[in-house]
Amino acid sequence: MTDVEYILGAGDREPLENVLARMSGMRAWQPFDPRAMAFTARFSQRLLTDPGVRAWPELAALAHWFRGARLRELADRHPTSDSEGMQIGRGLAFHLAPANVDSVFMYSWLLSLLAGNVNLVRLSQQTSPQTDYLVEVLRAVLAEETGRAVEGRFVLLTYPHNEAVTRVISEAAMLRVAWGGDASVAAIRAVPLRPTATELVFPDRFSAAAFNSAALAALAEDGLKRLAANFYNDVFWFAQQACSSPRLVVFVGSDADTHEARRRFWSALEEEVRRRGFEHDSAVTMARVAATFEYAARGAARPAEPWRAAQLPQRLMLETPLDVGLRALHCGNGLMLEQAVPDLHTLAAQFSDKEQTLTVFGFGRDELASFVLQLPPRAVDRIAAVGEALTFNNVWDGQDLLTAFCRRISLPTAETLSKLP
Amino acid sequence: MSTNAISIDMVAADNAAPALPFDLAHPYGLAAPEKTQRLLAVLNELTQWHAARCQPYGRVLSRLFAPGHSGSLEQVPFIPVRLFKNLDLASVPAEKITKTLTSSGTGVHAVSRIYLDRETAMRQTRVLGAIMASFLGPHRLPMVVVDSAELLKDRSRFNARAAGILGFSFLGREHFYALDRELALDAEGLAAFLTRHAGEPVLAFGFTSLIWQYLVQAPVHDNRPITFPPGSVLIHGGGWKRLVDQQVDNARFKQVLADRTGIERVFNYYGMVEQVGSVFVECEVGHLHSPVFADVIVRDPATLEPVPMGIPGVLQVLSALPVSYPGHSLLTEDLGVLHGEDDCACGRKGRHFSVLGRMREAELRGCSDTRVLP
Repeated sequence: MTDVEYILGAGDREPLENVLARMSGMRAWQPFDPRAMAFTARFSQRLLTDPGVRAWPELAALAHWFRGARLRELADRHPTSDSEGMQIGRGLAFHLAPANVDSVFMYSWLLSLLAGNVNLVRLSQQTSPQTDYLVEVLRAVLAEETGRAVEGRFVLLTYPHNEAVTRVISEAAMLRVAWGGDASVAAIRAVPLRPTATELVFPDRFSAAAFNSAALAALAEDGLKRLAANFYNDVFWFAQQACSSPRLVVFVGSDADTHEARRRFWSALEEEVRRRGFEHDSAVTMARVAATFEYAARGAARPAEPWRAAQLPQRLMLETPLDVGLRALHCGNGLMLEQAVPDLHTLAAQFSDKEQTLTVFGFGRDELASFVLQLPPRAVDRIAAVGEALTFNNVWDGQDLLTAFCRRISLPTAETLSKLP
Repeated sequence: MSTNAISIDMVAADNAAPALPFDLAHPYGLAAPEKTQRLLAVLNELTQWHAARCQPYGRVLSRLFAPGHSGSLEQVPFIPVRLFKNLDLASVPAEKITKTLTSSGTGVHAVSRIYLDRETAMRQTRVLGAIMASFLGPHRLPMVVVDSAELLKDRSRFNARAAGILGFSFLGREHFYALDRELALDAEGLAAFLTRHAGEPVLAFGFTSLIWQYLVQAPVHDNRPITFPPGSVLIHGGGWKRLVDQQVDNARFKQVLADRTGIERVFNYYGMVEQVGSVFVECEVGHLHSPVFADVIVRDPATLEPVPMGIPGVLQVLSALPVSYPGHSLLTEDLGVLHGEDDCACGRKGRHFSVLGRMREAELRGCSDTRVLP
C-alpha cells in the first residue's frame, strides 16, 4: 500500500493496516458529542475569521454552515436518545470525495464526525489551493485543545486509482460514503463492503427549474429583478457545474402566459448577466459551443434566438423529451435547456431518478405536494425556492445524513425493565 | 492559370463531389482575391453536399447557421472538431467507406472517427503530394519512418499516427521503419540503411515527439552517433505539447537535430486527422502556410468572432478535400495567430500563421467528475 499518501491525521510512513486497526478500535460516539461539536464550531470560527477565506465564497459558506449556533440548532432537531432507544455513530466511515469539489468532502466527513463516527477521507489526487488551505486550517485547529479532543477520529489521505487500497479500507469500514460521477460511483460500488456495513452514494444528478408562467407574467418589476438575481446565483456561481444548479427551465402554464413569462424572465436575466458579468473563459465557451452543436446535431434542441457563441445563457429549446444521453450531454457552463408544459403533472411524468433539485417559482405548497405524488419513483429529491439551489442541507439526495450516518439502538423502556422479574 | 491544371476525376455527374478547381503544380500560387473566390465556391458546394447527405450535419446547419451560400470564408458554417468524437458523421453510405481514421485519444476522452471513401482518400493523397513536392522537389528519396510498421497492419482502421505515416510515405521510397513493435529504436538497422544510402539525401518522417525522443536524443550504433547523409530532410508534425513540457521549442529542436544527426532541412507541419491532406507546412521563415486548397481563420475564443491579424485566438481550418465526412470547415481547439496574407518573406502566397498550443480544457467543477476512481 505504498501508494497511500497521508494528508492529515496519520504518520508519513504508517502502514495503512495499522491506521485502519487503530481507527476501527475507537469507540463510536453519540451524535453531537460535545467534543465533536466544539471542534467543528472552532474550525468554523477559525475559517470565518481567517482573511484567506475571502478568496473562496464557497469555503465561507462552508464555515457559515458549521457555525456553533447552527450546530446547536441541528442538535436540538436530532435528539440522541428517547424512552425507547438511543442513537450512536456507526464506527469507521470511509468517505470518497469527488475530484474538483473543494468543499463537498468537508460537509460529508464533518457531519459524520458530528454523527459520532471515526472518519477516513480519500481526497482526489488533484490538489487545489482550496483543499490545501482547508487542510492548513484543520491542522491549526488540531493543534489546539479542542483539536486534541478529537485526535485520531479523522484521517485525510489520497491515493491513485487503486482498487486494492479501496478494497482494504472498505473491508474495515462500517459506512462508506461515495461522491462522484456515475462511473466513479459504479466502480466504487463494485468493491465489496463488510456484510454489516452501510453505503450512501451521491452520483451525477440533473436539476431543473419550474416557473409558473401566469405568476411570472404578472410579477412586479422589482420582484422580477430579485427572481433573476436569485436564478443567476443558482446557475452561475459554480459555472453551472453543481449537481443542484438548474440546467433545464420549464415554463408551466398557458401558451399566452408562457409567451409573456419567457419574454420578461429572459430579458431580466440578461440584464442581470450584463450587470454582474460572467467569466468569458475560452474553455468554458468551447465546452458550451460543443454541447450546443451536439444537441443540434442530434435534433434534440435548437437555439431560441439566432445562434451566437457569446450568448449567455445559451438558451436551447428542447425538441424531444430528455433522455439519459441528452442529460449527460449537458456540461453546464451557461447552457440552458428550455421547455414549456401546460401543467405540473405533465412535467412530473418526464422526470426520472436522474433529477435531484427542482427550483420553483410561483407555485403553492399544495400544488407542489400534489406534484410530488405524481413523480416517478426516486425522481426529484429536493424542491427549493429559486436562489436556494446551491444551499447545502443535511438532508441531501433524499436522506438526512445525520440520521443515515448513525444507527439506532433500541432500549427497553424504564417501565418495561421495572416490570421484569 | 497554367495549362497543365489537373482536376480530380469525377464520379457520376448527377452525384459528383465538388471539384477541386486548383492547379496542383502550384499549391501556393494564388493571391487572395482569386484564391478566396475559388475556395469559397468549393466550400459552399461542400456545405450543401454534406447537408444533403449527413443528417446530423444538416441538422446543425439548419439550427445554428443562416441559410444560403456564405459570402465570405469567415461566414462558412463550421463544426467543432469535438463533434467527431461523439457522433458518427459520414456523408457517404457505409458501403462506400474504405478507411476509418481515429484520433489519438488521451485518457478519458473518446476518439474521433473520420470516415473516408476512395474519392476523399485520393484527394488527400494528391493534395499532400502536391504540397510536399513544392518543398521537396519531384524526386522521391529513400525514406526513414521514425515509427513502427505495426501501426499499418490493419488496412481499414488507422489512428492519427498511422494516418500520418500512410499519407506521407508516398513521398519516399525504400521505406525503413526505425521502431519495432515495442517502439524501441532499431539503431543497427537504421545505421545500415543510412550506410546503404550514404551518397544521397534521405527523407526522415515522424511525429514531433517521437523524432525528438528517438532521433535527436542521440541514437548511437557501435558507440558512434547516427548521422544522415548531406542534404537529408526531415518532415515532422503532430504537436509540440510534449516538447514544450521539456522546454524544447522549434529553434532548439532544429539546432539539436542538426548537431546530432546532420539533418539541416526541416519541415514542420500542422495538420490533423480530421483534415488529412491539406496540411499547413512551415516555410523557411518559420511560418505555417495555407495552400490553395485550404485556409485558416483565427477567432476570439470567447465570442468566436474573427479577430484581426496579429491577435491570438482559436483556429478554424478550412479544406476543399473532405467529401465523405463533413470536415471542410472545423473549429479546432488549437490556439494560433495570423501573421499576414500573400506577404510572407518566403514568397509563397496565402495566409501564414503560427500555432500557439492547445486550449485549456474546461475545468470540471461540481460533482460531475467522470474519472473512475478505485
